[in-house]
Amino acid sequence: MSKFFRLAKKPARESSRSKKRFSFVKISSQDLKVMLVTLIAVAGISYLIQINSLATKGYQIKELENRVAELSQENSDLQLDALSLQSMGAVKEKVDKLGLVASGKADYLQTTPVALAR
Amino acid sequence: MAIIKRQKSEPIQSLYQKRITLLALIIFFISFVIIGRLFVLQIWDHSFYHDLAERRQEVLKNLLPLRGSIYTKEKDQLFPLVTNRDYYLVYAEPVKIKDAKKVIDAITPILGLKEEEWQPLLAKLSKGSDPYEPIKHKVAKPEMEKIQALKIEGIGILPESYRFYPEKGIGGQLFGFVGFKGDEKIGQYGLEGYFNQPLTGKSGEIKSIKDALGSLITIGPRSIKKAENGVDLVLTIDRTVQFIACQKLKFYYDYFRAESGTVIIMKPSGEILAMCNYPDYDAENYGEVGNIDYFNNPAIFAAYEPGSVFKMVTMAAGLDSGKVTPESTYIDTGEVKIDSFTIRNSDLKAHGQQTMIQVLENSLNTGVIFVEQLIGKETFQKYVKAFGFGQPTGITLDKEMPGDISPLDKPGRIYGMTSAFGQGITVTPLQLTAAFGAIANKGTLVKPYLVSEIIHPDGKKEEFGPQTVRQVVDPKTATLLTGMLTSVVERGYGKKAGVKGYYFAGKTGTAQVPAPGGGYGGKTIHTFVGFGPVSNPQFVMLVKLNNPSGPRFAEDTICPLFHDIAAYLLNYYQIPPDY
Repeated sequence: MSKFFRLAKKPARESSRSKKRFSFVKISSQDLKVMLVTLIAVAGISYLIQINSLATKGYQIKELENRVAELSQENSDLQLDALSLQSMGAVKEKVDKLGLVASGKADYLQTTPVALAR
Repeated sequence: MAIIKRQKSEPIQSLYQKRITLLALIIFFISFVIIGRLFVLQIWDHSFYHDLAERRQEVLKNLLPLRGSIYTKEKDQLFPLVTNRDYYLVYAEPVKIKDAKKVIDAITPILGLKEEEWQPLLAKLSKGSDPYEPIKHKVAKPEMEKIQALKIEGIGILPESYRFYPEKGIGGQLFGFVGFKGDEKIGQYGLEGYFNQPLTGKSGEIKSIKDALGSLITIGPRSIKKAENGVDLVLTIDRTVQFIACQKLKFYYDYFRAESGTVIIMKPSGEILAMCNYPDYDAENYGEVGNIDYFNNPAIFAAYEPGSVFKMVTMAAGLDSGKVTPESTYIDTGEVKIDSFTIRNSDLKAHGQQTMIQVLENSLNTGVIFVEQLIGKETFQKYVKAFGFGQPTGITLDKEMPGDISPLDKPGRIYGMTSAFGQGITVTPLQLTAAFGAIANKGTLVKPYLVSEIIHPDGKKEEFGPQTVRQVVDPKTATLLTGMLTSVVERGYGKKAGVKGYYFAGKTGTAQVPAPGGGYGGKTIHTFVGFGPVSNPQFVMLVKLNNPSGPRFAEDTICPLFHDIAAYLLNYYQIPPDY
């Protein structure tokens, strides 16, 4: 029997096998009920877990937001303290303490055109 | 048997039927009542129960915008002059306090409460029914943390935002303050008053549902309308110049025991570099100001009779209308008689033949009357208006006064004559500065301005630059007048204002202050307005002292102040000398 003949015969056998494969599994109504209840329970529990974790995350976010606000506040306070230290009044006070003196008269150099000859 | 069975079953069937019908009716009735009740609850009284539930579960919070800051620019870097700082409010809930005395003992040393403060507070905290009582506003962070660490039941803390001024004592009247009007915080006076709405921004709100503890539920429905922060202002003020101007003014104010003083420094293009008054107030503690008049900025609010400094305007009108030249002469007899009045020179002398240059150098009242008579009152009035007198300059500050030049509308030559040397009309210091600025600016009057940029919360910038109002006098007139005013500083009453090596133009004014009962009293206002260096003017400056003690005339009081500030500015801006 040639290879081609064998292949030609194969579909007949395959069809009888696939018939067996796709035959419906009989499920009793009791099983169906159990499956449905299980499915609903699993879906319900997973929904609850999800909601709970979301709510918990909400509190965590709030805590982090509070921390961010606290740090921003500290940063702002430090910046304002730095500004006060840079103020003219504060600088003048330090200048007086250090005994620095004001700059005197400035001399300006005047550029006069120069004629050059070789 | 069969007959008997039929007879028995019929009544039973009928009874069952009746019972079922009755039961159905009862169920129907109950259902009807339930549906009816639900209809009332859910549809008829929907809004009532909706509101009730909303109040229990929902939370509606106003989101307050952050008030904009006021900056100055230093080499492209912004330096805040007015910004916000968080402080804290310590409050009590007396209903939760068991031992008020113990609470007072614990918080008094931390908050530094005085006896007159803690005694009435003790009485308030002892009232068990009182739900809320504020203890102290504006508590700093270290004190707040100490109070928090005590963990006293019934004592709470809330953050509060206040205006913060890193530079102390420079320009309270310039900035204004943010005070309470009812429960609302409102900017008043100065920049805060003028720009109150844009600085405030727009409130937002958050609507959400809360849990039993009052915290917002993340997964619940939530609507947020974000608050829109206020705009930031960038000023033309130079922080260093403002500080120095205020310091020098205070020194001369103290030295001459004056009633008040003002300094305005402006670029000829209209940018205000400094605007300082003394006495001023600390805007951070505006509530401690004893006199409410201190809130007004005298540089724009206090219109006064300027005196001889106004002769510049009369001479500008004379030159520009072609009626006089710097060399025109007249004979000074020392006085001018008009109707029953006699107007004399301030030195009570007759100087004989005088040029217009000498009129300004010696500040001769008779000389400017001569000019005013030549040009006529109507023309003079036209120039006075053109220089911007009698109307606000339009500077972006709250409560600017226009001054009063209405006497020039009155019939009678006397009004024009007195106005020619600055009596009978009133002007503000800023108007005078702007008028001299027009001469420094080749005859073009520009609008003085303080705000160079407005920065919106989204980063968008609005920029403001020099704004021409009108050409008041011809550039040639401005040049001639500049020369004459330079002569005032070089040879006239303004000598003490000059700085060696530089040419300055300016005019003094010693004005008498009108007495409450009419006429003029013994008080005087000393003013000097000048600009320089005349070859390329870099700044126009007005200095003024109200009723200084000691010297009689402005040349001895106010000119040295002008000199000191001008010398500093020449050094600070590295302006090379003229000679």
